[in-house]
Amino acid sequence: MVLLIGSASCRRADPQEKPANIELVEEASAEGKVSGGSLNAFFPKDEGDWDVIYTQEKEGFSQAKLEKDGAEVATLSVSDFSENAAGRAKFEASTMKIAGLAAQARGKKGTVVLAGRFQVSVRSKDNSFTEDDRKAWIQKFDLTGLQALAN
Amino acid sequence: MGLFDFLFGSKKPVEDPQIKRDEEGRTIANYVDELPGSGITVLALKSLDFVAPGQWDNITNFDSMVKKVTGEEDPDFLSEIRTKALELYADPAQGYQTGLNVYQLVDKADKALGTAALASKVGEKVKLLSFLDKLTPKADTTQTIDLSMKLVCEIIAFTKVNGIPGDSFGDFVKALAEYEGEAKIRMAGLIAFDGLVPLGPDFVEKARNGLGNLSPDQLAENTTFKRIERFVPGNVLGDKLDFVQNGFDSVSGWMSGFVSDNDLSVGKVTGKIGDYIEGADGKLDYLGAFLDVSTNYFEHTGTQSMASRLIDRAVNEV
Repeated sequence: MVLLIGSASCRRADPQEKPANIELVEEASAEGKVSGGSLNAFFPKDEGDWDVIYTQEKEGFSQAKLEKDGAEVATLSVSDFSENAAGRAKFEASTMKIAGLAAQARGKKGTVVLAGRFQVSVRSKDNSFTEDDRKAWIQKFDLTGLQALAN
Repeated sequence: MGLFDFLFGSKKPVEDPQIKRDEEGRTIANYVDELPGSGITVLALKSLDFVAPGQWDNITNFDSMVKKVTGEEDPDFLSEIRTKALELYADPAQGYQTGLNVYQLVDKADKALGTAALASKVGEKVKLLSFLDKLTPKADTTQTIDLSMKLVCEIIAFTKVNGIPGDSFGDFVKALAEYEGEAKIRMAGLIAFDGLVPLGPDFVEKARNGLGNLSPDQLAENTTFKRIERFVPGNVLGDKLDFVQNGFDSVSGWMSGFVSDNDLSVGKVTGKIGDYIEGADGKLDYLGAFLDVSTNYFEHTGTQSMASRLIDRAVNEV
């Protein structure tokens, strides 16, 4: 499967392999999972005092920390649940919706939504970052773009 | 259930026998649960607390770590996170096994000497003088390579966990500035115990020059390099030497900055460690050799780092 991702903001774009002004073509693995680096395109962007710093980019998974004024306040992640039926099934019981998507609390510090085959998770690392903040930051992901990725 | 567990109760959760393990048949929880809560390594690391006051919590129980890293309390949720972390560790493609492996290989402690040193304690202090005959200070070239091997190991572990190319020096240096907790203490140990104490205040320049003059053959003969050679990027020895030199160059500015930002000096380090080791200030080369053989501070904190990164990921994937 080949994914075409427009306007990808790849942090380590290698100019020789990934020219800046053309579409970024990422080859997915044999199992159909997306590389972590190409998931970064769907994350919220830096804004004002807020910085998004990528920390783990694996096949079918990407994670970043969200910093405010240089201090870590939350973790942001996207995880491919295409092979995680039990994980997807949890959302069937959802009563909460964020941006029209089935959403759930994960423990007392996490909020997740299922966007297509991807679980988008925001977890508080600092008490100042509330559940409302988590819901707001989930909506800063490109949830539509994630849902549009082919199954 | 063994007789011991039957009589005294088992502290550890019973693992699903189906849970996957690494080549040694171990889980990440096994490695964390076996870390010592005391001993020379822990004392040495505690002496560096002033670099990151109160940040290093010597967690030696995986379940406590799951709670601390996630801030969660619900037992079912914690158990789910634990299982996910164990699964992620067991998959070699995820990079955590390699990370842990390099930390283990780069840092081989002589446990017998550490035990003997503790047994000889007078009051709270280990007497360095009583071990001089068992210690051989390293030549500067060997120490320079050993220092750079630990750095290389940190770069490899960082890139493996982050899932980025092995030569991402720029990303690594940026991340170093944000190291905290056990990772920051590990870097303080690197600079203090493998830099300042054995090589002196100008260790960065000394090591840079030493590495600049190093031949591929000299690198190949180094015992520490031999242990981690297969993980060092590069097809041929010359490429691996380039990687070591470039890796060291890329962090040398950060190391000098770390020394000045934390007001680190040979005197300060020996003064702090003097709380635990008597005679630390007189014979620096022997103190360096003693710390080298009696501690595994890199492996100890490296294991804690790997486990906490795993947990930090696992909680997002349950």
